[in-house]
Amino acid sequence: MASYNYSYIFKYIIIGDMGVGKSCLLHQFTEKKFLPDCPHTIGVEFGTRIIEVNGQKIKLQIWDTAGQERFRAVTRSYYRGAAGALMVYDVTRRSTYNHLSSWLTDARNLTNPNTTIFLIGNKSDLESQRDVTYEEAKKFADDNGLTFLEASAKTGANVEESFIETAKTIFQNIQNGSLDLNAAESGVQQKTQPAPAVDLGDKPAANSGCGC
Amino acid sequence: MSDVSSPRPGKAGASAAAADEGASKPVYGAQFPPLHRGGLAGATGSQSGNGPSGSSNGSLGGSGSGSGSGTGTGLSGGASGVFASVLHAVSGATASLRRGNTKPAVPFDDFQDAAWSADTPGTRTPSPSTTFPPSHVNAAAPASPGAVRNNPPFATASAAAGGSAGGNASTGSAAPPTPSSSSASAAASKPPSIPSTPTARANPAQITNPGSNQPHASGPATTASESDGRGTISRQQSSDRPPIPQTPGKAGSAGSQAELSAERKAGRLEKFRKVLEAPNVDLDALKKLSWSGIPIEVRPTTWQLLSGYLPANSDRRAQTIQRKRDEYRGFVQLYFSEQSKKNNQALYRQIHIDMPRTNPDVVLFQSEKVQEILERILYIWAIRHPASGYVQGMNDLVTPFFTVFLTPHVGDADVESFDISSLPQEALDVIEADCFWCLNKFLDHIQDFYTLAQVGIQKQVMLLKEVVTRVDAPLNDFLQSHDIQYLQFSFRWMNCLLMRELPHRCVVRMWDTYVAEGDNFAQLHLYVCAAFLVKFSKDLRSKTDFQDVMLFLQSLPTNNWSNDEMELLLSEAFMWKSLFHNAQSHLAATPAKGAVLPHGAGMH
Repeated sequence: MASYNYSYIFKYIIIGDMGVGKSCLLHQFTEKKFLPDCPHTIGVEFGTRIIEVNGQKIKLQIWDTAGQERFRAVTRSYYRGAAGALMVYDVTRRSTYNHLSSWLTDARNLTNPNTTIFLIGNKSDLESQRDVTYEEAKKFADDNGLTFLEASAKTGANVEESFIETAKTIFQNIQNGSLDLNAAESGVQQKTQPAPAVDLGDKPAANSGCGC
Repeated sequence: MSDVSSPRPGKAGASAAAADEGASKPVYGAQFPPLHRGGLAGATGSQSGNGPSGSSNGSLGGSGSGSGSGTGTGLSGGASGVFASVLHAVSGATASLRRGNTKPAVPFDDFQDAAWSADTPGTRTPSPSTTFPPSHVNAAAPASPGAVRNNPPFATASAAAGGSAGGNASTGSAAPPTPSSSSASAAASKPPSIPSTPTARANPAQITNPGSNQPHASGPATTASESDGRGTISRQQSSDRPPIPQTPGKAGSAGSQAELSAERKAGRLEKFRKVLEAPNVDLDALKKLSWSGIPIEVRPTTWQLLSGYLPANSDRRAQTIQRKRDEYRGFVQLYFSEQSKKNNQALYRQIHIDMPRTNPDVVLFQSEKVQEILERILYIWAIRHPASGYVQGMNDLVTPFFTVFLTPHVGDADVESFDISSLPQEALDVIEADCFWCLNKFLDHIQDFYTLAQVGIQKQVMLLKEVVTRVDAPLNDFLQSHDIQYLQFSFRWMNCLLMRELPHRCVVRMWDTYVAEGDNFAQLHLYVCAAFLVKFSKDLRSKTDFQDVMLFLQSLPTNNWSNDEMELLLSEAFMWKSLFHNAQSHLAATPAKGAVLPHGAGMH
């Protein structure tokens, strides 16, 4: 952890109803731990991890938002400038799935047009309590142009994949030029020094700071 | 001379201070930097019985002695100049605080105390100046002797008071500028050097305190004899002193000092008992005592009295509380029925699933039975307060009430890991009802924290930035340079009143002060948050990037904190509040304009 070594910073937000497991997904992803009964998020919480996509080290800055409606006024301010939005529902609670369209509206309205929105059906380990089928959610995702995975913060299944797939999509958008890095709210920062392509050697630590 | 309507010391920060300084205004510009001169002058005053200028100089150091003569003049006149220098002084003070990781507990306590007393006589005089560099400690000392001149009988008392403050009133106050700070630190480092005096002093203090604490206190007529405000003040100071050594005493009581510390504790408890046993509890006296922490034995009663739940009049107490408890039982039947839960399914479910997520660090709250109690309290509260309803984090806010009201039932056991299943149901019902009503009162003061858009919190966050900009500009610059928004870390500080950032025991101590502050605790909380952030200034500024700063801010290392840290924090907060509260123009001068709101307007 001592020396940071990455070419890009991607900013993510995690959104969705209360209790769908947003914070647990984040914990599982950043610390590979599952915390049952982790205290509910107040406002927002921050997490970070460096991943590698196509040989590029990417630092993810992840804002985990509170699900309660009352916090919406505060959490909405975090949508702006997000390169990726993980929209989470709970496969065992249909109401959380039913609310997806409102979350999606928020995400679309408040992020930039190029924000990659990724749908996650959490708690896939609780098969016996399932309330929303994979097919149904898959169709919703396809209809709305979202990438979709079912995951389990508890077992860790597909958690890694969800975060990394999102990064891959963002990275592709950068490569094909559809995501303009210079746009104020792209949610992506490139390191100031030109990053040598696919260079696995150590680069000097970046002290240049990085915004969100 | 006294502002009867001012419910609480420290309220009127700026203008009052300005008014107070009015008397000494001509001197002021010169006075500030060579602060010690004020102290010296005061000292002289104390010896020669010299005129008001001496004492009002001294009032810098915290006595309100000058307020009588100065009131009303120069209300705004000297304000800006005064504050400019005060601000410098503040940042200087804070800076030095941060640098030396020493515990300026005493100076601060003195400030706090001095400020209290300063406030009291004139009420509206938390003379900003009071609070500052240790030199004030000295300044404070001479003030009282000076003030006391018309009241020989009390001269001794106040000298003693000064002694505890400045190290030694007669000698310490005459100390030259530089040593003054060292004398302050001497006081800090050896509060125990005033052995049994706390108790000894406690008693006379006890007698004089109630009436003099607050001008509007309807307290016992013991003070009637000294219609002269100055006399009141001086005695008050003396009565203020005892708690001072207490705090650092606890800190510094290593081994051999344990006895002294115990003695002091006992003395303090005794003071509380005296106030509490009065047929008509002097709430102002109780507030004043409680500000610096409430002994565990009397904490439940004190909290209930200060919350306005328990009537001050002991005759009415049993009856009132029975009625309230019955009323709550009625609420449970009315609102917690199956039908009601069905009608408010979303609300019920939300609270229900939140309860297991309440304070995972404290074993007590993992008990299902406890969770059921909390659930009922919160659900009923939410039903009765539809404008805000239940907001996550409120569950945290019940927990201090619960542990405190449970404490009398646990004997020697650790309340945080107590198994409540051993308690009779009636006891639990009583705890539940008491928690409900106290939470109810508590939340009344911060309703706008939880209503739509949480405007109250957003305001607080903006003000936090302004205060930090004032007291620790480098930290603010640092945060800004790393694109850290205050909202990103301090929203939770406000929403959960720092409960997520501090160990439970520290929260309980903090709430001693908050219940003492009453309906103004939210204002104090803002400054507590500022002090909290600034406390980690150095650590923060050593971080190199955004994520490190954010991660650090999200889990500040407070695990090992004890009351000492809390008390330091609270004193510092009090000091800043005295400075900035109602001095919005100072905050307004900071870059973030528009964020300046009439502070307090949103608090009610």
